[in-house]
Amino acid sequence: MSTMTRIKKLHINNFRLYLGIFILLTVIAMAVFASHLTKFDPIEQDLMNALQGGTDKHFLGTDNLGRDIWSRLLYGGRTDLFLATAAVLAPFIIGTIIGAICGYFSGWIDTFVMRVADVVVAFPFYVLVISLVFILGNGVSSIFIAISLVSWVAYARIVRGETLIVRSKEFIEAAQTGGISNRKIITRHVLPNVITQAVVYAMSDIVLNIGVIVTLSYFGLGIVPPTPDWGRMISEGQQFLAGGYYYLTVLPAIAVIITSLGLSFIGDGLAQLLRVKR
Amino acid sequence: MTAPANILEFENLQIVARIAGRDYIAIDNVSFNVAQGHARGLVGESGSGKSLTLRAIMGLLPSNVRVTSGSIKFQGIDLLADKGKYRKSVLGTGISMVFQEPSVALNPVMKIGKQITDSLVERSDLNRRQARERAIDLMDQVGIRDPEKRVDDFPFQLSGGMKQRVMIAAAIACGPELILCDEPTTALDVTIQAQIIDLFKKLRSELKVSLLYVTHDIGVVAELCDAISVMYSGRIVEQVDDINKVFSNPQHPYTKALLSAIPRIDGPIQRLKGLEKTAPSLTQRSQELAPPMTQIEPGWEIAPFEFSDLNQMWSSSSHE
Repeated sequence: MSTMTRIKKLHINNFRLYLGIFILLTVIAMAVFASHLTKFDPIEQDLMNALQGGTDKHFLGTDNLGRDIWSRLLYGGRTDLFLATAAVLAPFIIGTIIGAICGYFSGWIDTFVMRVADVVVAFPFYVLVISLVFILGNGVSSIFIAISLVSWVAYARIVRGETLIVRSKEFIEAAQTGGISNRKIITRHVLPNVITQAVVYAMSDIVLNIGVIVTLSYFGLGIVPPTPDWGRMISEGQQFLAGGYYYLTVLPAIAVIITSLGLSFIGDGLAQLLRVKR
Repeated sequence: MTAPANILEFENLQIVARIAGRDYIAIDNVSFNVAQGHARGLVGESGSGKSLTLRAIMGLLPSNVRVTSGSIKFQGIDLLADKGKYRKSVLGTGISMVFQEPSVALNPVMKIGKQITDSLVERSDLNRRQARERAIDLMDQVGIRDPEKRVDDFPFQLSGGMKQRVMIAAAIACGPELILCDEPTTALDVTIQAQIIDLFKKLRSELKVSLLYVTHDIGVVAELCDAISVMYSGRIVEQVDDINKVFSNPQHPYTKALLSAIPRIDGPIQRLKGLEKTAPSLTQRSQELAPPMTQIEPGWEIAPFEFSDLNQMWSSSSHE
């Protein structure tokens, strides 16, 4: 059996990966093409038609201010997905570089950075992020900064550990005896061998970030009101639960769950794919 | 015939390993040289310090191991001086290395063509296509069939012998004058071993490259090398610039034992003749310094200790 057919077979067997990619692409497409999928402005209020269930006009209904829920879900997904992804990319890049450098060179720089990392993880994740957002003030950029400041540590640790393993491999020595500079050894020989673990983690980290963003908005921190976002939809809908308007809360919650499931499937699928490859 | 200049000169090299807070002399009084265009075999059993000696040249010693005295000169300049700056400048272009285990000495996620020209690209402004052409040339030179197809393969698609050929292609990519070989055929099948040794012979005659060849297989040395150094327990016991002399008339009892040691498939596992025990491990070894070598004739020296001394290289003091 040739290598290509073996790889193809592997992919077909990896159902979860494809399901995850399908779900995520659908959610992303809905967020990106939000303006084509609804004719309502997500922040336009229509108090005359507040708190209506599914109607011909608003098929998922309206919230307490008469805003179209379908439209708010789409635009809220845009906010949350964009922020969650951005808040993964920055720590992913920073943490990977730091981890590779620490693992490759070891020595005092490694000791220093890893102690800083220990200090960061010594605090509970949510406590640290919430207090950082509190200090930085509400808003998309403070959530981004707060998450980045905390979660680079995970990437640095993963990549450092993998780098330590790769570092002891003979092909690194072989590259050194070829007179290749440390910078090139890290970028060409170390990183391609360690990056996969960080990528797998990044998938689950996006899930975590969506959770964080939604939670922060739920607490009234983070995303500032008129901007639609799933967390605030859940928290604002809560007060109408008793009145039977459960869909205000349930619909954005379902959106969060579906997105998280898709990302989890991708993470699991990737992990499986890479395990088999090893 | 005048002796050619030495490309590599070891002088009184001593290497110390720190284990559990104590220093142990791993290598002592190692002096030999590799003449320009010649090949020297460095022979010894496992743990005799031959690989450590080789690694000291490249600065690949483990962090608890350091060179405490002596020098290693490449083309007359000490590699151990100036914090390795000189060494860095000759890595790849002056000295290169072929490793024992080709399956781990190649980066699993990099195309072999790229690995072959990796160090070449580092020092020249070859573009991607030129580098690829050069890789194909080199692969052809080391006897890889269909190099145009193979150049984009990944290491896992190659057999062990092919991988070792790739390693050798990478080692000669920058046109080094000296290739260090760390048991390059040990991990291979016997038939492949013979092919790789033939390849080294061919490279020697075509590229005029010098070799320092570490192995425990004295037969390989007989076939490939001009000079030989025999190591035991971190010391050199016998070395000669003309390998035929030692094969026809070995002087040191250890060398004699090594040459007469032909493993028998039906016989019991034997120690070398005359040796009571296996060589002591580093922490059990006597810490006495090696005595100076005795010269039998120019270019031929032996260690002055006898078998009884070898047996006594076990440290008398007991360690917990």
